[in-house]
This record gives sequence, C-alpha cells and structure tokens, in this order.
Amino acid sequence: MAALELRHLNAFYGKAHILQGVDLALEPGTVVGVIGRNGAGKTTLLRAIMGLQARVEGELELFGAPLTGLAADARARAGLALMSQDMRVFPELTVEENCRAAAATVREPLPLEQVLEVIPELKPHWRRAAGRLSGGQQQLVAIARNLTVRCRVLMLDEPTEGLMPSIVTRIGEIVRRLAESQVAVLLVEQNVELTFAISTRIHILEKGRFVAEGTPREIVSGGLLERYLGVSDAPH
Amino acid sequence: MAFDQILFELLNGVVWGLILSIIALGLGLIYGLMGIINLAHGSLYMAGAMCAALLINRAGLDFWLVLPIAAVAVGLLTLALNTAIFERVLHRDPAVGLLATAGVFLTLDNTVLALAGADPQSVMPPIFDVLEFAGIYYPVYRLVAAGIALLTLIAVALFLRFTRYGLWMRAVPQARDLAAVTGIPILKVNAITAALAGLTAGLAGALATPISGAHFQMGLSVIAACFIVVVIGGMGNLWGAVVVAIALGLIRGLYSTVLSPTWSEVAAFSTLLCVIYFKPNGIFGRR
Amino acid sequence: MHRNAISTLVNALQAAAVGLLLLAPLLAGDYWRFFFFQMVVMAYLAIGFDLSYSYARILSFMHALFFGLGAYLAVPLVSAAPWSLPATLFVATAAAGLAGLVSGAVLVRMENHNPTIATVILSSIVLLAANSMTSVTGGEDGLIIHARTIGFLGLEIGMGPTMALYYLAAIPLVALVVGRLLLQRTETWMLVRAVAQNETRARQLGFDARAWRLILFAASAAIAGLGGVFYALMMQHVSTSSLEVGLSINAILYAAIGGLGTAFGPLVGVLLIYPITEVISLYFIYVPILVGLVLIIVSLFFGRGVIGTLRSLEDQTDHPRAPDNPAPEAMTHDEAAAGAPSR
Repeated sequence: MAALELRHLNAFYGKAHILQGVDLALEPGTVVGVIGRNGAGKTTLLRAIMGLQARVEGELELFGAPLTGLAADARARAGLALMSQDMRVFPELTVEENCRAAAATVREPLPLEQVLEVIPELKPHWRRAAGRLSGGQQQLVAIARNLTVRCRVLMLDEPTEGLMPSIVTRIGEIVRRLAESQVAVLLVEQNVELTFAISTRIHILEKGRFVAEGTPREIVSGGLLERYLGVSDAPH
Repeated sequence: MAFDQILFELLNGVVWGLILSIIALGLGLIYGLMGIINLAHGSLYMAGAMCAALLINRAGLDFWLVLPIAAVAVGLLTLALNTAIFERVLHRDPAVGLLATAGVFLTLDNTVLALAGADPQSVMPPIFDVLEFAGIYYPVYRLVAAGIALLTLIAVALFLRFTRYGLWMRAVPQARDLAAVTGIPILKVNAITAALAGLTAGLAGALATPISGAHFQMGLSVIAACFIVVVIGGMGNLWGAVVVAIALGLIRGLYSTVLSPTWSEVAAFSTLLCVIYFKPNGIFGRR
Repeated sequence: MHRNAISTLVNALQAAAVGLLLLAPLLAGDYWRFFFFQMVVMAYLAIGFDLSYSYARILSFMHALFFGLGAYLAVPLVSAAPWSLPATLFVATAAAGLAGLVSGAVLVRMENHNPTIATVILSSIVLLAANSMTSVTGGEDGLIIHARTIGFLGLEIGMGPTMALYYLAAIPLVALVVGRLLLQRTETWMLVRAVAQNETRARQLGFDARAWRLILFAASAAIAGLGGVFYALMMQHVSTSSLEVGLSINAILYAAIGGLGTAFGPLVGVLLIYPITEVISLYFIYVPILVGLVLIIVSLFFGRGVIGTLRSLEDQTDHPRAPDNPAPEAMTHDEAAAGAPSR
C-alpha cells in the first residue's frame, strides 16, 4: 500500500488554477524529488497535501485512509509532516519545548533522549530559545520534532535554502536515514545536486502538472533537465 | 495629605490592579491565540459579578460557594461563545471579530438588564474583619480578594509553564501554521483558552462584587481598562499586561487621594492614554 | 444582463429612499414625521461612521461622542434670536469636527487594531466623565431645552418634530448623500481613495495619505455632530445616553447592512432596520439584544459585505465600475479580491 497517494489533485488560489490534476503514489522507504521552475506549484503541492491550502479538490490518502476533510493538525497527527523554510521553529520556546510541543501530540512519541542520539548537535542548545539558533540549527530542531512524532510521510520544502554546505550534507544524511527506517519522503528542492543524490525517483512539475518522471539517471540521460528547467550543468 | 490615606488608596489600587490583571490576562490570551479582540470581555466580567450577586442576594447562597459557581458559569458561557462565534471568526479580517463581539457585548449586557433589572446589586463581604496596621484600618476581604487574584495569576503561569495545553498555548501565537503542521489540536487549544479566559473574568467579577457591587453596565469601564492595559503591555505579551494592570491600579489609587472615584478613574485612563500616544504599540510589545 | 438588472434595482432603491424621505412626512401624520425624523438623525450618524471606516480606515466605536457633543452644544445655543439656528448648526458641527481632528490626529498614527481599541477606550472614558458631571450634562436624566421656537433669519421655527425642522434636517441629508454619490463618480475621488488605501504607495506618489485620512475622519465627526444637533432640536432633550457606545454600534449596524463605502448604504440601512426595531420594540423593550444578535449574524455570515469594501476599492482601480454599488452586489464581486493575499 502506498504511504501517500494523490489522485487528480487540483488547487486554486483566488481565480488562479495552480495544481491541475496531479497524481502521485509515494511508497514507504522511498525519497521522491519534485523539481520545477519557480511558480510551477511545488510549494502549493506540499501545502495542499498538508491541508494548509484553502481550495483543494481531488483525492488524498495516507496509508489508504482518506485525508480529505481533515484539518492540517489532524493530518499531522495521522503521520504526515511538512518542513518548510518559512516555519522552522517556535522562536520563543526552547529547543526542548519545541520538541515537547510536538511529542505531546502523539500517544507514543520517540523519547527525546533517542532524538538527541540521532541529532546530538542539539544537545548544547537544548535549553536555549530556538529563535536564537542559526538557520541550520533551526532546521535540525524541525527534524527533531518530526522524529519524536515518528512521522510516516515527511515532506520537505526547500530544506536547505540559505544553509551552509556542511549542514546541507548533514540534512541529506538524516533524510536518507529516515527513508531507511521506512519513512516516505517527498522532497522539493532547488539544490539539484542534493535532490539527485538522495531521491529514488524524480518528478518534474510544470505549470501545475507532472510532465515527466523517472529515476535520477533516466532524468539526466533523457535530457529532461535541460528541456524543462533550462539546467545544463546536470550532476553526474 | 495624610500618609495613612495615601497608603489606603494605594492598597485599593493594588487590589483593583490584581483583579484587573486576571481579566486582562484572559483578553490577552484570546487575542494571542485567536487574533480576536473580544469587545465582550468586560461583559463576561459583568456576567460573573451579576451571577454572584443574584445567587447571594436572591438565592441566599454563601459567597465562598458562589465564587467557583460564577467562575465556572462564565467559563462555560465563553466556551459556548467560542463555538458559536470565535471559531467562525478565525483567519478572517479583524473587523469581523470586532463587529461580532460588539454584538455579543450588546446582547449580553441587555440580556442581563432584561433578566435582573437596572438596579445596582450590592453584596455583603464574606469577611467583615478590619486589619489595623501603619495607622490605617483596611478591610480584610479586599486583601483576601487580592490574594485570590494573585494565586490565580500564579496558577495560570504554572499551567502555561508545566502542562501540555499550556505549552501549546504558548506555542500557537508564535507560529500558527507551524502549530498546525506540528499536530497541535488548535481548535481544542482555542476552546481551552476561551474557557480559561471566561473562568478568570467570571472569577474577577465575583471577587469584585463585595467591593464595587454589580450592575449590568459595569463591563464597559472594565473593557476600557483592559484594553489600555493590553495595548500598553504589548498585544500578546501576557505578563506585560499584568504589570501595567497593577500600575494602572496604583495610578488610580494615587489620583483618588485627591479626586472622586470616577474622576480618578478618568484621570488614570487619560494618563495611560498619553502613554499610548507616545508608544502606540505598547512598551513591552514584541510584534 | 444580470449586472444591468442589479443596477436598475439599485437605482430604484436609491430613488425610493430619497422619495420616501422627502415625501412621506407630507402625507403622514405627526407620529410618522417623528418616526422619519429619527431615521434622518440616525442616517447622519451612520454616514459619519461609514466615512470614518471606509475612507479614514478607522473602525470607530466613538461616533456617538461626536453626535452627543453636537446635541449638547445645541442646549445653550437655542433661542428665538434670528441667528440662533445657523449659529447652533455651525458651532456644533465645527466643534464636532474639531473634536474629530484632535482625536483623529492620534488615531491615524496608530497601527493594526489599536485605533479601534482607542475609540472604545475614549468612548467609555467620556461616558464615565459625562455621567459624573451631572451639573453640566444632567447625567442620565439629561437636560431639557425649554425654548419653544428657534430663530432662523427672522423666521421662528417650532421646536420638536415639526414639519419645518424636519425638512431643514432632511434636505441637507439628501444633499449629502447625493453629493457624495456625484463626488464618488469623479475620477479624482477614485484615485484619491485608491491611494489612501495604500499608504506606502501614497508616499511614493508624494501624497500624504495620513493627512487625507485625518481630514476625512474630522469630516465624519462633523457629520455625526450635525445629526446630534437635529436630534436635540427634535427631542428638546439631551442626556448622556446619546454618548453611549451602544448608539455607535447601532450606527455601525445600519451602515454595515446598507453597504459600507457606498453613498446610499447608510441611509438605506437605516430605512431598512430602524422601522423593524421600532415595530419590535412595541412588543419587546430590550431591542439592543436583537440589535446585538443581528450584528453577530451580519458580521459572521455576510462578512464579505462588511469587510469586502476596502478590498473591492483596490479592485476598482484595475476595473473601474460604478462606485455606488450597494453591499449585496459588492459581496458577490469580491470573491476574487477576498481570496487574494491580504498582506
């Protein structure tokens, strides 16, 4: 059974028809990358799945259970997670409180000690206000929150934008580990190199539609990157 | 001006400031969590006071029994308002909430007028003792009322600090979308916030009844005081509001050594209005 | 077609409102003249509120104060002297306008919800003070105007809801509404209004939006004050109940139901709602309970009509259309505008 399945998803913003019939099946333990130009609807896609978008039509299932009609917070408690650069942390809560606020939403959270074993970088900042951490550390706090709730489908919206290369590598590493533990990952990322390095399959989104898909190798060899993104320096 | 009279008035100011602070706390919580400016908040305080006065004067119940009843009754009323109105106002233009709660204010005040009449209700304090110190005689009940208000503040602080819902109540105003994405049950958190705000407003009303009496229009001057306090304290900054509430009480106390009660209230409001003029967005504001 | 039908309906409604206001009192008896007089007075207050909300962008709960100020100033100025009526009208309107200028100077500097909150604070402070100054205001019992007539350039006009006084109040009201309609159709006004919605853009164009808002707020206060004068002349009695925030809320309701930001809206709102509340008050004296409930329902379920105005104004700069659409039409046209990002 697919971890996340979209059937003919449409989203509107005012009169604009942003997503035009998107279909997608995401298997547990895989990383699916979505690439596309700015304005192709990538962020809208993730927000629509999460339940943050106002006008959405179509079918959405999480492990076979329909999500339609559920608010974002209920979808989150069902195991869906979204990390996005414009909402990383609760700035005035400590790192610990950030994690506890998430842990308290589920019945059997992953104990915070175990979270710290995966992300030991947070230990020295445990009692600091999360808003005072660097962007990369805040992103690690966001990952920590999603670890403790044992999310089953993780969606990442530009998780590395504006971060230092060392942190980017680290985030890629953690995401790969999550996938190994059977989490399904949906990744939207400008960083083509990271996307190709960790994705199992890649979909290209253009003007609200998926226009191509394949393994990273197929995408590169088919010249699809140049065709849809105008990128010529594809990674090898 | 004799020292003892100043002391007496200052004590009155602190008592009033503490009672005001638990009302303003609820107003601030509702604003922080839901972005709603509840124009009917003074009416909730009035409802608590009238409920207490009527239960004592007409049903003959004991004050200490009535105190929790009034608080819980207003808490439930506010919970109902949350379901009927606040939830429908979320994420909409602030004017919608202002107009809807203005409607609640008119409805509540006049419903109480219809049910209980326009005569002011006065209630005997449950404690008649007078404490003599520093050359003044101070009614013990007022100190007890101030103590209960202070305990309420502490209880709310502990609730916010140590409980799951308290943690969420602090988290939601900081990042609403993130709170939803994190799985925080926002509607439930809102409902608990509304109930807590109603509980404290009702408690404040019942506590104030033996001191100031009860009247269907008493909410209006309280809403003005609460608004001043919340704006100066910084919208969404709870403890800033508490500090300013006590300051407002003290300023009013100082004025009442030379002015009549109403005029000292007008003067205290006007003084703080000047602060708003120079600091239109509050002194402890963060947003 | 649909659009044309609506605009025909709107024109008919507007003509009917004016016709009713100008003709009905001629045909009906004393009671009905009194009834219409009260609606005329309320329309001034509702227009004052609407100008403040729609153009000065201040959701005001304090317009009853300007109304009350006008009413109270009438008390010492009414006499049989030939200058009395012009002087009363001038002094009261000017004083209300000045009060609007002074309070508005603070309000237009505030951000977010703070101006609205400040109007609530000011309302309750002034009411509190007025109620305790019984020697000046007469408190809730109020003051009585004893003069039987008021001088008007050699004529002596009977006080109370007389025919002459009615038309002296109704004709300026109609002139105000029609004048506003004509003004709103000019291109300059539409430009000015659009720019005033967006202070940043206004500054870039070298246009002082804040000053413009202040002037409009003062004008809205003056109009409310004018309504107050006519109220005092009609009732021959003024009390602190004319200062109450409940009166302001009534005015808000009228304007919101009739259509905010429209020339005829406040007047139509009064003509629709006032008679209903009057009829109900024959059977149920606690009318404010119902006014409150109606306000809740209107704001919750017809919020777009109440709120959509400001946004539809922005919309109008791109698609100019008749600016005098009443609320019902504005509601349906604002779908797209309301869905757009607000900040």
